[in-house]
Amino acid sequence: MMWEIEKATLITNNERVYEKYKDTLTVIFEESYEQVLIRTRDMVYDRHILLTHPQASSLKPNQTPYRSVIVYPQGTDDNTDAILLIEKCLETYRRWQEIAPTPEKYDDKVAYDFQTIDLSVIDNIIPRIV
Amino acid sequence: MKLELGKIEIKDIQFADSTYIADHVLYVNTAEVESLVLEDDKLLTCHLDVARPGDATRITPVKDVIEPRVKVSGGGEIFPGVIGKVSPTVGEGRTHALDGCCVVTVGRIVGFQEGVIDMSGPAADYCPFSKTVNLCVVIEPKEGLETHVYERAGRLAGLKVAAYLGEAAKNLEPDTLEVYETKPIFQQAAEYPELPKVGYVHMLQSQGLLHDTYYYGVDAKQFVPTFMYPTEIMDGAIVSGNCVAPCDKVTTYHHLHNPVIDECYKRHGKEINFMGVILTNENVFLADKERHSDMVAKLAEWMELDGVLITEEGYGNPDTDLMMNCRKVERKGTKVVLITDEFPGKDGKSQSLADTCDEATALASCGQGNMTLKFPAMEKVIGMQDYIESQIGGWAGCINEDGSFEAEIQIIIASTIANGFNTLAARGY
Repeated sequence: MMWEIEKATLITNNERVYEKYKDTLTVIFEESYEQVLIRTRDMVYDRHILLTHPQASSLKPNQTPYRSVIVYPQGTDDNTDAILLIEKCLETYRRWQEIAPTPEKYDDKVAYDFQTIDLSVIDNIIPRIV
Repeated sequence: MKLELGKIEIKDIQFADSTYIADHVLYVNTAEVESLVLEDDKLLTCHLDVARPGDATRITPVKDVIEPRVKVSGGGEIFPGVIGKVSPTVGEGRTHALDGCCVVTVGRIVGFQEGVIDMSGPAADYCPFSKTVNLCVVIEPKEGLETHVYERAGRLAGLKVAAYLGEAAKNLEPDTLEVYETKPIFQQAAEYPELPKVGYVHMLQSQGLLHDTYYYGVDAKQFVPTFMYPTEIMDGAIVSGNCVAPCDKVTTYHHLHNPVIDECYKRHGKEINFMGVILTNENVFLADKERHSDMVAKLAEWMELDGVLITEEGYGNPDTDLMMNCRKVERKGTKVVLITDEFPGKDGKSQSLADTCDEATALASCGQGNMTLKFPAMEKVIGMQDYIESQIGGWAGCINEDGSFEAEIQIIIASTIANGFNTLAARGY
């Protein structure tokens, strides 16, 4: 199937992703990594599929403060896989918070670099949604 | 495709007026190497240093580790499509390798990653590059460069230096010569008809900035699964472009020395018929994951493989590819063994992968990255320790004033590398 970018929804807590793509598609800004996952879960349960993996990049869920995920209306697709995946990601996120919580505050430069990595993931995906 | 891999043993590196090898010592003309690196106007400074096994030296932040190699005959050039010409393909003829020495690129790219190599002390046990003589190429970018521009400059600098040093071995007589051969599919299948046909599904990082790998110069997220002769990989057809999560980073050195390929060749013609490599990626786009795992399973079926080994690189998103590959290949009737590292928490009791499937019934573990270790202060630091607290595996307050620190072994380059290069493992009793 082909996708239409205007039907996709990007959920992010990364200001740089929000600013860059807010005029390209629907972008929902959330306050935290966990809130991005929760909002994603809610949308998946409300007839959406995942277009991107909610644990993109190999930074563990307590090693980056930023997360961006793209969802898409389910249409006639079965979305059971998406439900299982986002639930698994939430579970994994919480397990890593138990191992060691994500630092509350990062140095500005480091935070900017984390944003860069997260933005790079989305930059690579947007041209694919056509 | 048949490759003779000649190894020239290198026991030390010394700086000199010209670059050559004599009596197992690599002499390096520093001025030539530095000017080679600084041909790239994105880089402001470059200086060289040598770290030897047993030295009280720490190297950090490390970007990549590369073994110098050179094509002697058979066509093609080392690191094709990146440093060497893209055509013809590599993997045939003769290649010489500088065995026992490495080029290590050092320098800060982003503020939170890239690992540590200790040349002695407790952390040295966990790192393969504590046992090699390392030419460290310490680079500094010009002010204000975009991260991806600097990443590329750093990546190419290390590869250029390795290719340059490899040239010194072109006309030497190697100390040892190993021969590897994989034939075209029908011939290979017919060669050992009584042995099980085994393939290797090789998953490459391909998620974005600092999470990329290159195949003949192509960004791995842009290709679809394909077949590779294993000897192509020994000639540098795959190079690393990633440095997130030091512990399970597959450096370019590890691509040249892939332990799965190595072990399969050792058993080739004896216990198994090693049919070759199915190359695939770990894209973030879920449609790619579905499409590419389908193609991996199709290739495994087309090659009539009885069994495959699958390795991944990274954690989280790649675990999903790992499980999709496992499930789909198994459903085609091919037996699967997974190889990966684990992140089960400090007590080792949590679930160790971010995804699972029913078909994943055989897994070789390469150790767990959450274990913590005390790193003593070192007499010399090549690079800088300014970022230890924010490097992967460190935490706020983990470093002491004297330069010693405590961190998870995630911070050590290749400590739990997920293709089995190291000796860490989990055993069932």
